[in-house]
Amino acid sequence: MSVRGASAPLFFFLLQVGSPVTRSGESRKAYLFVLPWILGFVLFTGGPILATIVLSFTKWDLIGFPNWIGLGNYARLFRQGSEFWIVLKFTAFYTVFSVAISVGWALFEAALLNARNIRGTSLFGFFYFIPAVVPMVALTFAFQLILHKELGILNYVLSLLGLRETPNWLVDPKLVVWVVVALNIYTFYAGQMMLIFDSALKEVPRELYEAAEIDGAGRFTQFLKITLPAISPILLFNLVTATISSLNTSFTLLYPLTAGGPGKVTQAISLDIYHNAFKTFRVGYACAESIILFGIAALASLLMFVLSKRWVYYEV
Amino acid sequence: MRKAVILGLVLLVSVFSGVSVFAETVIKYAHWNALPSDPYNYVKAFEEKNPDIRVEFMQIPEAEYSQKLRSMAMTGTAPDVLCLWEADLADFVRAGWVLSLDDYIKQSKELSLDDFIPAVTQLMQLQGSLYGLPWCFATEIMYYNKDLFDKAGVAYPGMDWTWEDFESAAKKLTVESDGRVVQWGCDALGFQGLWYSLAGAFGDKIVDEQGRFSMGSGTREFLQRWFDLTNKDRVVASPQVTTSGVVSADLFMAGKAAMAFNGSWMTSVYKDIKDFAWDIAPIPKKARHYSTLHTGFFAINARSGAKDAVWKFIEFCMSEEGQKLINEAYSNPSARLSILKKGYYRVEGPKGPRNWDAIEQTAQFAEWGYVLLPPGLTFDIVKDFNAAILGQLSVDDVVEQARNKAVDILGEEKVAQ
Repeated sequence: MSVRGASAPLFFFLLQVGSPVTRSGESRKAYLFVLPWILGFVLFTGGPILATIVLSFTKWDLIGFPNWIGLGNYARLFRQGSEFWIVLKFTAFYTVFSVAISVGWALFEAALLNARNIRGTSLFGFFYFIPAVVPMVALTFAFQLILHKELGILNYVLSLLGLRETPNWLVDPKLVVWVVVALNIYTFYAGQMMLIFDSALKEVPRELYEAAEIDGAGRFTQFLKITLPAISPILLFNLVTATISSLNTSFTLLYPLTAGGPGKVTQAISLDIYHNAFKTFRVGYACAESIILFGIAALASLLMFVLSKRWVYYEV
Repeated sequence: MRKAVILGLVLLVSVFSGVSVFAETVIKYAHWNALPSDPYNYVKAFEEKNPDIRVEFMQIPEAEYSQKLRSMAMTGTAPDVLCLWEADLADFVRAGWVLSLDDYIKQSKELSLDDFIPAVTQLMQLQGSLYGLPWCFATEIMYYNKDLFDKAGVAYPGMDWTWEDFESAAKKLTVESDGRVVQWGCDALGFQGLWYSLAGAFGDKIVDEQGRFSMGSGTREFLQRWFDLTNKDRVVASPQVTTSGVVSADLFMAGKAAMAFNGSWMTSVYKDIKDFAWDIAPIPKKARHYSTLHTGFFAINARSGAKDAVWKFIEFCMSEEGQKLINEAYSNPSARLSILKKGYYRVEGPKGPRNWDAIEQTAQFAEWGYVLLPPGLTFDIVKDFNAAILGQLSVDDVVEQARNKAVDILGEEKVAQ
């Protein structure tokens, strides 16, 4: 059994509670060891979560005291004609496609790195990972220039190919949504997923491929019938983390690249929360949006875990 | 004997720790800009003149400046000297977080309200008292490429230019080659404030005398004209993505647009242009002359324990000595008319600008306008303006939507009928 990351202290803490040695001096020491984490959790995670829930029922502009308005913020969010519907629609679109593209791209790169009879894969791995370590603001600024209608190199190349009316990539609503989705392959989590897939692929037993080859299975069939089932737990892990990342950290890509425009076409919910909390000072409204985002992330993760019973294999 | 030993020890400790036993007033001051280096460091200059006051400076990044100051004010930890943005000043006044400066300025031998640009007293009338003094100001103007004007035989713009003159010049200055525009009459609007400045020039008040959001027919007419110039006449470049109100690529600077509207602060960027001669002019007049002012207001934290020292600091910053340092350091003009004329802010490049009167003339008619509104509202509306120019939304819908957004965020009573 392995327990990873931030949940480990909590896991051990829960394990201690109710056990026969709870009142022993040893368990008191254990509590003291986990106390800093518990305090940190209560003060810096649990406390703000509770505050967000409470504030979501208030109207507050960061001046004076918040006014209790019950479900007012939620009613405003979901009223007819509310722009929040546009935000939700784009968030759903962005999450589905950015996860599909980033996970697919990471898996594709990892598969290339694990291809047999190819030399210098570590060098390729280095180059594949480079975009992931470029700061997002620098990356988006570079793409603003590349995709500029008049001065961008992409349109210059297109004009050399004879295209007279070159696209306005970041302003045309039909194009920009796909541009922001495609740029996910350059995000940090895409690079991170590639490394995880790479490790997982190295663990798939070679004999399975040899046996399949003897049976006459082609490369694609081997990938579908051997590779994917063998790495399915890792695929699930990457899908869940990519979904949560996409929902929560889309801000870092969208804010410097499009700022949610044109109109609200690329306004993801994370961007809208920032906008409402710190640009229009509707803190209660932004907190209500945060609660909805939390609910969406929780539901999406739960759904993936439930569905995973059908396609994830923990033993090969 | 014992007392003498204790006194001696205290003196010894204070000498070694660098702390004076004599009272030194410490005031905290926050700004979004870093302090300029010598010889423009106005805080250091103040401390040298006032050795009994020490200024603890804190830089707060611009992106989080507003919310950080609000959080600090709420928790009673705000700096003694506040430099507040226009929209924040009204909220801080409402919350009682800043002091009225009326008595201070009446008693001041250095400052007089008559010496400030008109917008300062207009804001004072709106808020009932004087709560802040502008540390310097910037405004929005027109830039033009003199070489391209000469080539097309078009007269340079001046104070008397009308919107019709602008449209006519834009058409003459646009060059097409092989069905493609290779030189635009005017660049797209990059900085968000320009939408409001131009709507104001078309007659809308933007923010009326009661401080209410006021946009309607002027905005509608301007958007329709801008839409036509962009899409029908094809003399204005298509809108580009704007993040934080700034575009990443500049057609004017690239020599591909003969005119551009932008903030006066761009003079310090364009001064590096070496390929063509350029200059500045006020925004052309339509229904009236109009432009937007930008500043930060020096204000006194109502909870400060050293209010007199704070005023001393503000008074120094607003004095000719302080303003000279600030104007030179940031290339922004003084809001004090007597200092503005001296032109400490002027930094000329080899090719421009030369017509500094454009900024001084603009200061006479410019207003605070949209900067008094929450930035989230005005930025959101600009995204819709762009959508209208791209034909994604109708002009009427955008104007209607702008009003609804204002009602939603500000409340019905803060939106003019």
